[in-house]
Amino acid sequence: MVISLKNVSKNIKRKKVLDNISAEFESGIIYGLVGRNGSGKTMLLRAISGLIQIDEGEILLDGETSNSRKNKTMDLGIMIENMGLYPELNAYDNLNYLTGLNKKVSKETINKYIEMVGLDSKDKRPFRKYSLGMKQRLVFAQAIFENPSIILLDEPTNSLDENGVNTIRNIIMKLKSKDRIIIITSHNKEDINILTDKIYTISDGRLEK
Amino acid sequence: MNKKNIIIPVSYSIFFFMIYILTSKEISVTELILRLSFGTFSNYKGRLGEAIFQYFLIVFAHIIFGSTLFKNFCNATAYFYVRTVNLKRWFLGEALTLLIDIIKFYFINLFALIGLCLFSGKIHKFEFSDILFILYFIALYSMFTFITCIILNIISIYADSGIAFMVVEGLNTIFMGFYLITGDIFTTEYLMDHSYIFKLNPICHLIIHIHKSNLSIMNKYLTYPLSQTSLSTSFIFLLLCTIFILIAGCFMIDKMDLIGDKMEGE
Repeated sequence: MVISLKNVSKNIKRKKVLDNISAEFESGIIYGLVGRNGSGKTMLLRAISGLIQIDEGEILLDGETSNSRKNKTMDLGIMIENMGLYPELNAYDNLNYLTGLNKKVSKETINKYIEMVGLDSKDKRPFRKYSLGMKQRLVFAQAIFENPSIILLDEPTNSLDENGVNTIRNIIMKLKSKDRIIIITSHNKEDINILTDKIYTISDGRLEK
Repeated sequence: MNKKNIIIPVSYSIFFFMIYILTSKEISVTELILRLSFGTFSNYKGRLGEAIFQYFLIVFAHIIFGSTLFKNFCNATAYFYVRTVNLKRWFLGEALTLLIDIIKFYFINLFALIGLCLFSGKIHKFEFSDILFILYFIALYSMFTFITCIILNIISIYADSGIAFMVVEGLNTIFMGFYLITGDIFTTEYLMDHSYIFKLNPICHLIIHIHKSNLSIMNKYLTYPLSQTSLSTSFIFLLLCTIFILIAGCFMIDKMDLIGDKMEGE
């Protein structure tokens, strides 16, 4: 499986946030995206996932266009920095609601992933009452619990304590397989060095290998 | 159900009971509903303060429900969207939840008020018309609040929640003021030929006592002179507006660039 970006550009408020980006992401490899704040890392993940419409270029999955909202073909899990889940739902209900859209995952699997990231599957508190670290863990669980073949992780270890960082890193290492593409953005050099096989640097919307 | 969705309508009922019911010796459920639906005053100039107090029930509903879709859109929608291509489905699901919550809000408000009246011995008898008035009250107020809440949420998503509240509450206050200023017209024969003035003012569809009904058991309580608009007309008007706002909302949400400019962090 290959994701190919061909001359991808995106403007927001007349500013070029993605500037003529071309790259390929192959399965079996964990990619790291690094760059300073506002360089376009998160925007690139959003473009790959189809959350935003790109202005120019194309994004292909195994040679087929994948960035159109009406032609969705990707089996994808994503976590986005500072983006939570439904504030009034608890951990189980949040994941159950999301998986209910495709009816992919059983109750046992949802509970297994909640426990895997270090949360209590029986915790009935709503998401809004979670600490930052707990929120981060649940959003991470949300990205992986349906076993997607493409995983996009935006700052996955932000707000986590040492134990949480180790838990998330171990899970990411276990997720690496020849059938899966994983792309991680991080400010944490240790995360990038430990987890990733290839690193892209992004600066002012332009990509450098 | 969130605690504030219960506490706020019950609190409003207690205030309303103390201000408008406590001094009455006896009241029927129908009279209670007529008072609750902007019926404690006639449409005379200078009654804006009283109208605003009664409008506050809707404002509270706006505060509770006016940003729920917006919050969910900014939070979990991205995770919803990567699992389905259909944002219209997301919008309709959220809208249905919102409508159910709003109906519950008015049920709690009304039944808390009826409970207070029963507890204080002010209600002595029930009639069939009471049920019909309850149904009309819940339906008209729920649809009006639902429409305005959807508008609030859509403006919040496209622009800003502060702007959304200013626009919606500002317009409603203008409509209310227009009803009060032109109130005297409605008591003359002018209304016979110009009932569209009434029908085009959304606030007027909430003021039950200035309607008429085709049912005699309801009509005997609707004594407003020269009223040309029936409760069923207001029901159909708000129902059509509800359908229109749902269709418009579906298309507007579907075109939205998810996590666009104002939510952009990097």
